[in-house]
Amino acid sequence: MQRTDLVDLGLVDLGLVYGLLLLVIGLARWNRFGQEKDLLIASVRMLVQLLAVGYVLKIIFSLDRPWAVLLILLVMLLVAIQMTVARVRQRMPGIYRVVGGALFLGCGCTTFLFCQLVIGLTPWYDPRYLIPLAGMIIGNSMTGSSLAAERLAAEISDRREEIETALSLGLSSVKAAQPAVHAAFRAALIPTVNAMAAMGIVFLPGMMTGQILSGTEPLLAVRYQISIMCIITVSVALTSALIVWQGVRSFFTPAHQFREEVD
Amino acid sequence: MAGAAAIAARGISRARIQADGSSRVILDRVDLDIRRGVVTALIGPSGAGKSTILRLLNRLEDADAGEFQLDGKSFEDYSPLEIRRRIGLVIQKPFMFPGTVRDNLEYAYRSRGEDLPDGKLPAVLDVCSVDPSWLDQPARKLSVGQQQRVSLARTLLNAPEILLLDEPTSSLDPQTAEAVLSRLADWIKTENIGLVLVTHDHRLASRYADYLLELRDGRIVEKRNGDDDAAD
Repeated sequence: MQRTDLVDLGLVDLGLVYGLLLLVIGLARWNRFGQEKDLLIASVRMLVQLLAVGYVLKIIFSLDRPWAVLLILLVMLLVAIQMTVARVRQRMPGIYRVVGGALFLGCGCTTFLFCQLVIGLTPWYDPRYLIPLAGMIIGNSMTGSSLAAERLAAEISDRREEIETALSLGLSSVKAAQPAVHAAFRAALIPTVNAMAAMGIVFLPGMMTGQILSGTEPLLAVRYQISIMCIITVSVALTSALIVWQGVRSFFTPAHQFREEVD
Repeated sequence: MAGAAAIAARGISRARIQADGSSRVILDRVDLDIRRGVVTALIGPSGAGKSTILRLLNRLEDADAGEFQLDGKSFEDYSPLEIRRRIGLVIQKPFMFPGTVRDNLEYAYRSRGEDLPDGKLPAVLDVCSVDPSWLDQPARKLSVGQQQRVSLARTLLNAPEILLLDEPTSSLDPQTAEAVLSRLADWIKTENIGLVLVTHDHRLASRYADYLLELRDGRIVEKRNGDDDAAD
């Protein structure tokens, strides 16, 4: 059962909420909280970015062509790769290859499985489903990936003595770095695990809220939310695992030595 | 008596890239022979390249030029993991893995899915002056000097044919240092292990070494027998 009598949101309504936001910015300035510049910039960015996305989606929906949908997914993926790499402060050899491969494989496989086996999209590229679902999967996997990569690089740098001691005793580099790998994988999964545990109690997830607002029956929205959360967890786990497995190898030569020594 | 060299190093050079991008020569065409059953001491000021030689011998890093041979075959013909087990390195600053002293001593065996051979433990603990009462204590609670001895025992238990020690007694009091080194010198002779001892302590080196090599600025500037020096 679906109700489609969605309340229209006109430009005047939009202007009203934006006015409220500007009022908050004004209050922040008046009270010298010092956040008004950041708030203003962020709100303008939001406005411009979302308007742009809205128009792009409109064009893609009306084009209804697989290449256009795939192009958008590719752009999303490239931005996610760039943002993940930018967040890693420590040195990680071959980071673009490691992060790019992990996000491409992890998000690609899970999005495909979900859209084909679970939802059974027809046509397979239906942009109304594929783009938002892939967006959620890629977005969450990006958070997991950057935590995995950042933590792995930090752990390997912090545990250098431990790893070299293990290497000197004849352990392989992967075995010697195992504690770092485990710590990185755990760190990557924490936000997703927390989100799953708190879901429905602490907050109502955005996708479910959106579906309910647009008239979907609540229990159907809940089923969608549960399945998207499961697939997000699978994707985060898969991309993080790929990052730590491939990433740990990138720190060592085939002779199980640390790559390049810099004094 | 010492036979053919177990390890022969020829023309070993190593440079390191520094933070500013320039390259600094650490070792410059070094030749080195290491025999089983004898103590070879490497002495010289800090920064002379002593520790780097040990790291190259354990293959923690590779030389830029030159060749290492183990029993007449190039290092390249062995897997790096085999080299590291047969040529054991004890780093100057001991690192203790989480867990007890026993966990640390069994570390290499457990990671290979093997059990520590029963018979060896008491003798190795004795050589390294490791008190058996420490075995069930958390390894990280030990003093640095005690950790240094556990770290030596951990490598000895791994049954190396060549043992590389980087300032092994730097955190030990003089009596314990003498006790450990004299028992170790006997042990390597009965077990036919080659010992390479890096130290800045000339007195200790000339007392226990059969061969003394002095390194300066990445080159071997003097080779002599330990006895010659002791006679001075």
